Amino acid sequence: MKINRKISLAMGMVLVCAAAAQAQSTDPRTDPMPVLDHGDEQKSVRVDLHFVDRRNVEVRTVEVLRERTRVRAGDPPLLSVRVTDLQGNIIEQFNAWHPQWVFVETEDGGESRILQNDVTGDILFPFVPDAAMVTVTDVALEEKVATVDILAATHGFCRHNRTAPECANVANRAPVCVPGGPYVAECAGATTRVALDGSGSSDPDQDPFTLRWNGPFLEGSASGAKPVVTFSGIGSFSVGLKVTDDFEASSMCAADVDVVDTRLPVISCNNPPKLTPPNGPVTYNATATDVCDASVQAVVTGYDCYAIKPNGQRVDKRGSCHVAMSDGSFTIHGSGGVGTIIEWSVTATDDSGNTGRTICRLDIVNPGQNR
Amino acid sequence: MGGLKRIPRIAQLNRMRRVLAFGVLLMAAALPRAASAQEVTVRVTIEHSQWFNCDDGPFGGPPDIYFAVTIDGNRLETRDNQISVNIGPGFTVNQEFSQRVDISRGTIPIVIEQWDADSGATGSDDQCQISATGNELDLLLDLTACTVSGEVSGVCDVTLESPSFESLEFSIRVEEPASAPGLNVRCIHDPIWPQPGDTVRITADSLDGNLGQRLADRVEIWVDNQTNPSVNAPGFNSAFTAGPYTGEKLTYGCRIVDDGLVAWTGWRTVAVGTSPLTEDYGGRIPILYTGPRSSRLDMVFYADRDSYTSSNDPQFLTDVRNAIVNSYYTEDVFLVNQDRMNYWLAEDTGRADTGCEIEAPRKSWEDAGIILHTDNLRDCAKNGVFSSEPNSFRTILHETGHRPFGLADEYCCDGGYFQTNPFPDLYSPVAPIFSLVTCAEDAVNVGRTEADCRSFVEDVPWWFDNTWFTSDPASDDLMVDRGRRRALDNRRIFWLFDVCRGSGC
Repeated sequence: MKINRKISLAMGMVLVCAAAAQAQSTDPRTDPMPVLDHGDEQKSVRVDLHFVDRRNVEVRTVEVLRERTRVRAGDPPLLSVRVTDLQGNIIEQFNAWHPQWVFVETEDGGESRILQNDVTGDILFPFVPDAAMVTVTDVALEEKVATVDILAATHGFCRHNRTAPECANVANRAPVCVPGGPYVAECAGATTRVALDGSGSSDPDQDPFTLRWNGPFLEGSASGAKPVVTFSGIGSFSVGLKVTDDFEASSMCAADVDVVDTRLPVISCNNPPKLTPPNGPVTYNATATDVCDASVQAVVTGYDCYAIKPNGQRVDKRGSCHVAMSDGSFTIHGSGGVGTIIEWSVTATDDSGNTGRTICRLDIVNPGQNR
Repeated sequence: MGGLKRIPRIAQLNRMRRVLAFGVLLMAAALPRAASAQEVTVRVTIEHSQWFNCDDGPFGGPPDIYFAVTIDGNRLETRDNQISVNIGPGFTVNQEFSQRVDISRGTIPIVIEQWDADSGATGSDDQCQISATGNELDLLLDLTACTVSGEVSGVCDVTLESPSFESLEFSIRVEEPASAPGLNVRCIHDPIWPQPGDTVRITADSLDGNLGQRLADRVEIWVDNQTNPSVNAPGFNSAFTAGPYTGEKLTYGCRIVDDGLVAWTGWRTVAVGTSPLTEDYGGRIPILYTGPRSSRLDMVFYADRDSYTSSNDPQFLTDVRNAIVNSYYTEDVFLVNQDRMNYWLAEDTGRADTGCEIEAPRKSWEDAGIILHTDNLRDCAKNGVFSSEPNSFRTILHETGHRPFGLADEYCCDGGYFQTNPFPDLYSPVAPIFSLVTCAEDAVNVGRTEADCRSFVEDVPWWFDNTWFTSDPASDDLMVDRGRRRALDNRRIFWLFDVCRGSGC
């Protein structure tokens, strides 16, 4: 009956119905069919937290997902989540369900809420480039239960997805530059090799980083954590280290390098141990060498001439020994006879003021003993 | 049902008598009154934009863009869903804003704004200039002609550009809504996940405001064809068998026309078998896909691996279909908003076991995971997933109330209690201290009084017990005993759908 009445009514209202049909702005003919959104490129950060209990919360994993984030607007104020940038500015704050909240069906078909320990739940939010830290607060306890640094995870994602829009300006902390040192190296000659050590450097975001050294060493620059560089001469130098992570943040630091010469020159007397008279006059030229300095002058600074009697008594024979000294030369004109011992002191001072000293000795012996 | 139909029939008869008595002209005057109850959905989709003047300067970095769209005075914004644009200045947006509007409004204003969200040192939010005459773009939409005027002129369903700011691209659509006053449509297909070679049976039911049957002038089923409906007949319901399908998807919708009112489900897409399409969703099968996840609630069904052989188990597919029809599609709020929900199957199975051992490999965008199982075990809900026996339809609705809608339990004394903001269904004992609304203050907003507020005491082990308040009834309530949705439940549910509507999902 109703249908018949409506048909009659419609027949009587053709014009009106036609007008009404025109007034329909859209119908299935013009309503676009749904466009599948699998091309949605929003990404999410998921922080998996393990609640040992309400206050003891461990971060299990942090990862960036190539999926959009579910709706969070409806979540209740059980956990309060703050996402902040490196300056501590709040990027986003939202509520989250507490993973410990579990609803269990009761025997009568109702439901009971329990707090379950040892559970893992996730905190999800959209990946935005500035995001650096996440803090999770138990609202009822008014206690912060987890603080999560997410940069290692976001960098891990961006390292493999450099072209993702979020990655072009992802929050990044500069590496920590530790140059080692101060370095002290013993002069090894005209040039001295020094091993630098920047291995104490690190990156708070766990990014790989490169180390680049520069300074007044002969190579001009060096790379790597432990390069060996060459300094010329001695002195105090400053070397610079620049540590750059793979998101191009860098930090610089410097260390002092002291190439020092602390070793004494080594003196050679260049005389035989024994001499048979009257093999004179005879001259011995003491010489000196130094690791650091190319030439060091030996200088005879004094002498002694004596004999030791069988009873051990020392007899000064300086009066019967005739010698001459000039720089490193020591000339014996008269030996003082068999049994005489001639000693002369030689010093050598290098450019650094290190003075080596030695006493040269010559025993005057019978011809038969001089072998 | 007869009783339910009697009043409308009398009303129709009276109206017809008036019309016949006063002739066609008066009928013409009467029809707009009937049409005045008809709403349409206005959708504004921002498709593409650029930074314009909204970069944060040399030290502020790239902007964090969000949009605000005001449709007929109702402002929707996506500040919580910003677009971080580092590679700019142009970028894809694809954010949808929708609002129901009474079609009798004729012409409505639409305002589009673009903002850069700032915080900390960079200061307050900056409005981007997207108009030559001011910051925002002011438009007028003729609902009936579906034409746009104002700062931009054009028609619906085509990409429009802001003059002088051509990179801002958007489109406007006016759609028939999923329901009208006193008119709803229930529409479902079977099998819920067809396989290549399957035929698909689609059924449409015409429903009144109480979800009883309503005799309709036309029950239409549209399948893969925007020219004509596959079925167009008067009655309470219709069915159509489509296929067999060999492609990767089908698209259909149901439309009810009665007494000048229209309810149109909108087009839905259904995946057929597995395909690159389902792979692109990471093994999630869109079984009722109505639109982008950014403006939809996404409910995902998992097959318990001990109950079903796989996600393609015919029994599982039947159970999922029944769960949708007998839980969500028995509630007007989910029919009214059926074009704001997507339903999915997970290709991966889940597991529900005794002792609250539930697991489901959820994707980050899944708003709720539902593990269907046939074992006899005590169900459980945690971490956004809940288990349910296939016929526990009210359980599904109750748990959906918790998540994603954030409703608290309203029963005593061992439920999950909290006060949400906004639109709580439960009020904290310390609400005044934290400047939250109290039950007494809020009662008037749902047509109640302070006297309607009841309280119960939460038993808190080893601590002081809490007293909670609510004005929803103590029985036959969704969050008490899985009964009907009540005023506070409804308010929160509708609010979240509104959030989604502004691309906040």
